[in-house]
Amino acid sequence: MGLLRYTIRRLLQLIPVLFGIVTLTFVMMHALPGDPVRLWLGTEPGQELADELIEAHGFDRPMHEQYVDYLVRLAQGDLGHSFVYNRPVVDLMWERMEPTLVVMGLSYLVALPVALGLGIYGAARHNRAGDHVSRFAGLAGISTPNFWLALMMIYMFSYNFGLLPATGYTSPFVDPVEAAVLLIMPVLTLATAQTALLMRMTRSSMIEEMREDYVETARAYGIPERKILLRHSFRNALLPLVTIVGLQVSTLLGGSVIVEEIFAIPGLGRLFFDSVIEQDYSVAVGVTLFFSTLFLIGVVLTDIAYAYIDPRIKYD
Amino acid sequence: MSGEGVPANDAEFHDEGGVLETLTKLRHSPTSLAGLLIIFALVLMALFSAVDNFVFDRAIITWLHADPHAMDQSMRYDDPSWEHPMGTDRYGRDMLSRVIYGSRTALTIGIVAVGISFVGGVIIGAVSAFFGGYVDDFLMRSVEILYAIPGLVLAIIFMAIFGPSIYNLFIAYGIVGIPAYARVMRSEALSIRDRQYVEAAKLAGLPRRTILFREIVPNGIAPVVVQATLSMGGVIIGAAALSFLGFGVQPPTPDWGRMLSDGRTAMVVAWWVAVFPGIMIFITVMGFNMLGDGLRDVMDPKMTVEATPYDDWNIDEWKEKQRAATTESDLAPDTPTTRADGSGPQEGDRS
Amino acid sequence: MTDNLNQSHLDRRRFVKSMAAAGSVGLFAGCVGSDPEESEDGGVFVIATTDEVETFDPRQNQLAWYSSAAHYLFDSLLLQSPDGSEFEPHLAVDHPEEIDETTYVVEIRDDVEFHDDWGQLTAEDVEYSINWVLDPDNASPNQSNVAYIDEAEATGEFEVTLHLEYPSGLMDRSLAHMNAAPIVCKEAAEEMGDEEFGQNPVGSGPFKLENHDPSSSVELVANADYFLGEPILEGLEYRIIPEAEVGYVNLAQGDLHQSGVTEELLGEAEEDDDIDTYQLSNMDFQGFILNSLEGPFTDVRAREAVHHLIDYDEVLDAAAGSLAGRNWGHMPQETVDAWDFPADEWEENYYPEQDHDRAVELFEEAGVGTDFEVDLVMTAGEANEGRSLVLQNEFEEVGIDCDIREISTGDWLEALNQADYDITTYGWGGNDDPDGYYYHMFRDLQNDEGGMDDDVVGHSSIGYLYEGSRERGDDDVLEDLDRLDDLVREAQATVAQEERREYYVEAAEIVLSLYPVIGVYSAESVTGVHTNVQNYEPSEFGEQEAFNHWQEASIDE
Repeated sequence: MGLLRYTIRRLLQLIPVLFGIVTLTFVMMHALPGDPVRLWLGTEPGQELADELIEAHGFDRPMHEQYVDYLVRLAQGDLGHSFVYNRPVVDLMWERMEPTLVVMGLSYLVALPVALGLGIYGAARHNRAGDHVSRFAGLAGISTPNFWLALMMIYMFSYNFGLLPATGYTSPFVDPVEAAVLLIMPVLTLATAQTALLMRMTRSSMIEEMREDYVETARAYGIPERKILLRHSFRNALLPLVTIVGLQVSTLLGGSVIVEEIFAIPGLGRLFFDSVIEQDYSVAVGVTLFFSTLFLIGVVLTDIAYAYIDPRIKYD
Repeated sequence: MSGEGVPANDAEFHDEGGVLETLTKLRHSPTSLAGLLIIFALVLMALFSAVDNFVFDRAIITWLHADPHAMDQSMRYDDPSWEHPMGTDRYGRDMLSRVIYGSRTALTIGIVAVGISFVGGVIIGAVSAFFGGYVDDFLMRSVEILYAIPGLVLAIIFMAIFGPSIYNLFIAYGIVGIPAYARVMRSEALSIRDRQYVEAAKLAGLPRRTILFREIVPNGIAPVVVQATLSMGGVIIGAAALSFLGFGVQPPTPDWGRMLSDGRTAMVVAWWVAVFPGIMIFITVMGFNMLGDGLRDVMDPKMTVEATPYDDWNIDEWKEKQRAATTESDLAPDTPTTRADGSGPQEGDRS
Repeated sequence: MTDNLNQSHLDRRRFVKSMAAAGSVGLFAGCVGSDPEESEDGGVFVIATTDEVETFDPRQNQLAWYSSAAHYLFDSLLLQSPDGSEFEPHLAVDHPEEIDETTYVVEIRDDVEFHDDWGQLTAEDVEYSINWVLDPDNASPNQSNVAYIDEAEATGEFEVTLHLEYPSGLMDRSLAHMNAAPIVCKEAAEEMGDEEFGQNPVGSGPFKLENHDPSSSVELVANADYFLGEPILEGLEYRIIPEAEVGYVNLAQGDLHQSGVTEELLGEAEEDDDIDTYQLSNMDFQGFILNSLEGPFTDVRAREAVHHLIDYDEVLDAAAGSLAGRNWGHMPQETVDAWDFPADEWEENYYPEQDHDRAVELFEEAGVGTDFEVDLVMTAGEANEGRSLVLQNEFEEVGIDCDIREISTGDWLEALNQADYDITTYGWGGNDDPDGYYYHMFRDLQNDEGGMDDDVVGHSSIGYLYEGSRERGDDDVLEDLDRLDDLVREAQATVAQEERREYYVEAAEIVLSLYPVIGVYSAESVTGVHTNVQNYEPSEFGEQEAFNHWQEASIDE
């Protein structure tokens, strides 16, 4: 009950931010250069046709009216019309949603266990050789540009060794084996920095937890170090990690632009990039809006998870 | 950056004093010393390139090694050799010279963009915390809006609106970074706002602006500096990514991201064109992260601010916010939150 | 690029697409007799392409590569032979029969079936398809390519009469291409409407659409009822891979059968025993445009000066390396040779040797000196970057500041419209007829039917030569330009080649002497085909080459 109420309240809190994002995207759409009418009709459109199109899409109406119209359409789940594809933006995005979410989900799936393992290991070996190595690896991980990593992997594994296909996408729900082979490099590209970051987080919050009084007490009672580490410290150390996982949605979505472009994955990131290049801005703005919303949902979800995990928080 | 002297009895790491003092403590941390050394070398390289480029018209580097702009079609994609230790690119230009010159754009972008984020974030964060109420609500919601859009996506749209140029690249990444700084500054300022010396300044009748920028900002700035060092790497990678995608530095200015992007078409035949600039980006970012790591440890072992590839986030504040929002159900959702140590603002206290 | 025939208006989107496709695949065609002993099980032919398909409706398509690929799904009345020399009757039984100068009758095969039981292809479908493209309400990008036709009329079950607006030397060509007159199923198109038909195309081609994973792949399966017989291949698959070099890596690995080969990878590809490479001319014009409307190059002497600055071979080398050939007269050298244009004379008079002193002298004469800045605009890509860097270097050498600005293709087209550049990189694929270059690039847009938008200064074509001369009231030049406009329009509406040749020779003289563009080279592209593909040879002009009148490909696994 309490959790439900908390969830609802968190969702309500999103409204002003969401509203702000919608407004910002509206501003973006109108600030971006390029003329959708000319995009669709060519450089020298007949005036009649152009007028028709302008009227149909309301480009000639005052800004505030267009804004209200934009809000109304959004509320109906209409993100506008792509002038390059001559199709609704929502349809285009819907077709490309799966790859982006799959790659993102898989990078979490790879990053989390590795990060937790290495992080706890580092904390347990605090200031010893193992810790230094993992710490250095963590630093190196967050310092590696993902686009460079992607290129190097293609060069090594696809071209030099011929081990992995350089590009392409197959849905893991259709052909899991082929999907696994295809997605190894894109997922690793996204997961590397992710792993490093989460690992550093885990390590430092574990170290912090182990300085707490209760750990001393537990030690004094002769509880084995291993048990203290995994039973008590870990649970508490998990909390900030949960938050970070939610916040990283944003970084991963940004990274999808690069990864999808390099590995030719038919996802939203590539749709976004291509539409910016072609000035198909209703699409670019639609994807931006979707990414931001996804991020906000991620944040709320982690908040809820947080409330659920943390025994100190009472939601009512 | 270290402003007024700080009362000795004040809590936590503020009593450690100024940035200088902190720096001297870094000598105990080998990683941050190494980081500092890397950055120092890069700064030298960048300074050299800048002076050589603007004052001597590339005469020095040409004399020392090779002109980074000079094309020679007969030397196209030449292997690394004594003459060209890093090989040549598609136009027969010497990669080593270009890599050296590339430090200039990388560091400038990092420093200028982070500078913009820093100043913007500090002002927004401090004002937000100090005034509270609607000002705080408005500023923090705006910052959250910016934060919700992935950094790279926001930067691409910005570049598309204002056109690709190195100056727009500065501003784009400057804006992208603001939210993280604003949050850190705000949470610091909140904890300082009700300290004795601030109260004293208020009682003494000092103008609010003076209190804000003479008392609050200097005392809360240390974690923001850490934040800046840690996010420098992210900004450099981000800017390189933008150049990689074709939205950044314009040719023929040597830039690592751009070189990498040019190099990818030839990776199979000339690996060196893509490999060396990538390594340079890596080393630079590594340098800043190592320094940032050390700084953070020195300043506050308990701080859990972490560098992320593109932005940053203050966990403490989030933790507190969760706690506040979940424990006090009647608290307005966006009220400045109370810190665990009770140093935060009390309800209704709008100074 | 071969598909940009007769562009009577610069279509913005096609331009974006055709430029993007340059240097990648786009070209596949072939010419070897089919081998009857080939096994029945032909496999799936996998081809890399860099762009997504936006619509499968060839009447609305803007992409260069799909103009080619659409031949597998749809048929045209004629089909160009792989060597480009003739147009073979395809859906038509014979060439259009001339009744009078503006009336032609085409007889159509009676054994053509549309895919998936949509019935027989009849004259009504042809009438519908051509008239649909002609209808301005449909805003088809193909419209200008068939604008010489007034109306198509079904005058029998399998007979169509074409009523022409004016006679055109380009009729056969247009009837053979997907970006002019593709024949679609009338019933299906009307029943589905534009948007749905674009996703579920119904044609009569040798393959039909099986599946489309957006931004990923397009799969076609053999059409057993094809009128030329059932293809040996089981199917065709296009993989959409944005980076050409990554496509090549896939080819080298054997993951696909055909991919573009970038210049850097050419050596690799040639050494690879599993890959056959074909170097084909792109049939295009590559160089720069100088802004004649505003900025430092409004004076013809200043424009001539820039021509003295550069070494053409060096520009070509930096831009395209071995994948290009010089040309003279702003059209591909193949065209110049085929029409026997006086290229030597043009080279002698209008393509000066590099001479910086002379350039500076001319800048002085033009009154601009060397104390000015040049805004050099380019779009992404090595070819553009290479040529821009060389030009920038030359400017810097004579003490003129030159900044390069790289912008997205969308912004670039906007810059062309707004005259927002001093010099810009430019490329245009206009096929092998001079009309594809001279009418498109050098006519006066003001004399077009309907005119232009108020906010469009003019497009790229001639660097606003017409507009600039009008604005400055430069009467002498205007007189020449009026003549130029007459010539290119007259040449288009003329059928006899000898007469057309005279028009173009005169037009070229006028254009070259005004130096509005720097024409450097025609690009070539290389496509690599895996050796296990049998009976398949790409050529410049061929279409539907995995299965056409001349060859029938199969995969030897």
